[in-house]
Amino acid sequence: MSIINVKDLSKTFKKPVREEGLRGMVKALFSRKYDEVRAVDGISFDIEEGEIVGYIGANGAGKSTTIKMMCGILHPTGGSVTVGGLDFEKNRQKINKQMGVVFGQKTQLWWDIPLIETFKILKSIYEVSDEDYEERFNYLCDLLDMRPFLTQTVRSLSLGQRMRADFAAALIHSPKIVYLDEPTIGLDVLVKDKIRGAIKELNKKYNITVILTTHDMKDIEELCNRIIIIDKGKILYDGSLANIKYRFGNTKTVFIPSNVSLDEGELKERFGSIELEDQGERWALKFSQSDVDLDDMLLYLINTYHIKDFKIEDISIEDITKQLYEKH
Amino acid sequence: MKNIKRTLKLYLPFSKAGVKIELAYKAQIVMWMIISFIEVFFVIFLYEAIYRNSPDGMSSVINGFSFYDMILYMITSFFFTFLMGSGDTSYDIATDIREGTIANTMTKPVSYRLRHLFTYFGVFGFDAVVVLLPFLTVVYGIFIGTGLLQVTAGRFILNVIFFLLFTIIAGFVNNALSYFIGLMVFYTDHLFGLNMARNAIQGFLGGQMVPLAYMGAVGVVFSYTPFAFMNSVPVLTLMGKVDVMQAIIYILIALVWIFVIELANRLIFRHALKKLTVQGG
Amino acid sequence: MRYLKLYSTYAKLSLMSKLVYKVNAIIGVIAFLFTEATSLLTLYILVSSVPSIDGYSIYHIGFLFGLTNMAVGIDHLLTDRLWTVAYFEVKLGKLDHMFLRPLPVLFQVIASEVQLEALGELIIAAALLILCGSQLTFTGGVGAVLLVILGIICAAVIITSFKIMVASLAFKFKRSGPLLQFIYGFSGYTKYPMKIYPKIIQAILTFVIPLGLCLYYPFENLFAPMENAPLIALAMVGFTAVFSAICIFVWNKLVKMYESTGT
Repeated sequence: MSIINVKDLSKTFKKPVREEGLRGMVKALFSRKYDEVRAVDGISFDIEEGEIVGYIGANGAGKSTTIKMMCGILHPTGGSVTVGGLDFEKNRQKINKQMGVVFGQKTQLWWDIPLIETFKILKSIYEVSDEDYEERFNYLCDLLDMRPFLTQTVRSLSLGQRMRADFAAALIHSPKIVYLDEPTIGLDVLVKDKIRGAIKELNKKYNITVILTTHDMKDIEELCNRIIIIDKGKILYDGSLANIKYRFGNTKTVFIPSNVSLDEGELKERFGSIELEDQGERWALKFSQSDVDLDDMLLYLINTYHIKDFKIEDISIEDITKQLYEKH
Repeated sequence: MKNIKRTLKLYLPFSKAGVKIELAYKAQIVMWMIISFIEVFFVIFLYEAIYRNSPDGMSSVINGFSFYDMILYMITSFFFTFLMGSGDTSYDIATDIREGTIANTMTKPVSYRLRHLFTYFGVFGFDAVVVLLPFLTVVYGIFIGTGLLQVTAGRFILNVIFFLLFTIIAGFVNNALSYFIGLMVFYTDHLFGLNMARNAIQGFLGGQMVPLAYMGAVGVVFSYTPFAFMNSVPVLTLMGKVDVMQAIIYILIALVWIFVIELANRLIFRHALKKLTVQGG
Repeated sequence: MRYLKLYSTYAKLSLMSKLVYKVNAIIGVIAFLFTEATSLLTLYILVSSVPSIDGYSIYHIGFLFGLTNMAVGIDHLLTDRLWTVAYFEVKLGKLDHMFLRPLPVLFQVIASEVQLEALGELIIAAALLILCGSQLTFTGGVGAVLLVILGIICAAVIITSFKIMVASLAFKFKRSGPLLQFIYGFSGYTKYPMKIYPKIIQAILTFVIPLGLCLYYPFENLFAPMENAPLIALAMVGFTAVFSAICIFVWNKLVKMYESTGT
């Protein structure tokens, strides 16, 4: 049986329409008109225990709204979310006990007091037994290297330290499911690696189910065996990472300065399916690695145009959704 | 003269912005007025009980106030307090300090103090003309019309002239104090608490709920504090309870207060900025 | 029991956070002390200008003022976060984390702040009860004192319940702070003897916003024991229980409309 079941889930927000001027204000006092915004529009999926699922989409696609409904923060307008067969309407607190959540941009730690106190209060909130707490706490401290700053106030922690602490705080009660909303945003590479390593290890060791939203393709590549792509409140893709990678993941973009006078004809002739775009200050060369060999391409550019300055980027979430959309 | 013209040209846009700010918050203003008026309403009941229980009953004159004087005093004081409550500069200064933008203002060719003063007088002027004066016209029309306030036309015109003068003075005192409170955010960020303490003191020493005349000799001393100029003095003047000689003395003392507070503000501002630059490195 | 223990943990952390900002805490206490002291002085000046008001001496009035402030202060000490909920936290979507914990959201809102600034009110209240009380002759016995204590507790619960209900309107309308301020203001009017108000206001303070019921009648009972005192006690407890149950019900309904905006 799947651990999380999402069925026909939708969420509509009402936004009051404001009319201009004093008359509008007076009118608004008596009757309000609303614009309806469908942030999530009838989505369904199941998640099995132990899966690591990447839930991705551009900003405003309905990603956060879905996650918030799956955590019980928001009430759905329609459809349902059940976790282990329970729904939030009647069993919010029971579900919360099996769940850990990290929001990259909002800390859940007690801001002005030493970090260790947060863990102590979480222990009583989640009713963790002394032995379990000891074991878990020590394990997380080692895994995330937290001992050096346990007695500091949360306010004084660096972003990387705070993220690790937030992550540990979400796991102290041994949840079966962990939601991670942009867990690596703004972090340096070392901390990112540490957090990714921890996610992998916890998944392997405890079979924790992980639902992850991120803009970082590397997070997805390293962690997820399944991804769900959402756009405009609807699911665009639900399947393996390998498949999506096969379709888009190999796409790379090489940026070179615009003062290089590229010969578009020759490029196309040589490499076939390549997209060339003049972005003002720079040229963007987009191509799929299954058609074009990156080394060949770079070698050619360097040899022919003596380029000293270039940048290579993976395809972004935005590009993938755009392309998926066009194919639909 | 040319200098004044240039100054006005430079700073009048800030006053215009002040008017716009006030226009944007009209819903809150109406709400705030209703809330505060209910309190006045309850205090009037308390006064009614007091007059009822005094030796001569409802026709008693207590500390120079008849019961209807008291009602007029409370209502005038209510509208004046409203005027003093709008356009509080301290919040803007607090924001500038918290976000560190106050350091940038030093590089601009406009004076930080004057900028706030002009913005404030935009708000102040708008509320005085749109709220205070129309309401007071109606209230005094009723009181004079029904004979509850007896005053000759000549004397009333004189009262009004002095009242307008004291109102402008009140604006200066008020803004100087708000600026002072705002600067305190250099030292503590609990602005809500500071303003609350200020309002308590200002309400009491300004005679918002009870005239200073009720306080005997202490009340006379209070009537020369800056807070009295933000309520008691203008209100009593409009009611005709201040004679010309006394009014002139008040004006002179008010000017001294404005000078003293502005001087203090200047010194604090310098001290605080020095601290800021040392910390900022 | 579990909630009591959790509450004390929450309260401890709240106090620890408060003490990080010592100057702020002191300014806050002083601010409320000033506010209450000036309001008290105003009352004193007014009342002392006549021998007595409808048979109440200055000490009676001071004592009643103390009772009201005790109730207001207790509510202020324990449930101050409801203000920030009503004004900002719903609107800015700052309550997300509370929906993630296996505890009622309302419990977390109330437990997470102990407002030391209420000491300003409580100090004044205690001083008044002692000073004015020592000047008064009480004819009611131990029962009358117990009724007063019960009245203070009920009044505090009623104020809190009102705050809970009005604050929860923010879940529907995004912000309910100004409305809360409006209604909260009424708690201040019970500090004067109810008799001085017109009948309609007396009725409101007895039946609609039953603060008068809980403070004024037990106060009267101290000096002129009433035959129906047990009935009053019953009415107070009954009213308070029903009223707070309704308010919590409203909260629980509206809390589901939380939209977590502002992210």
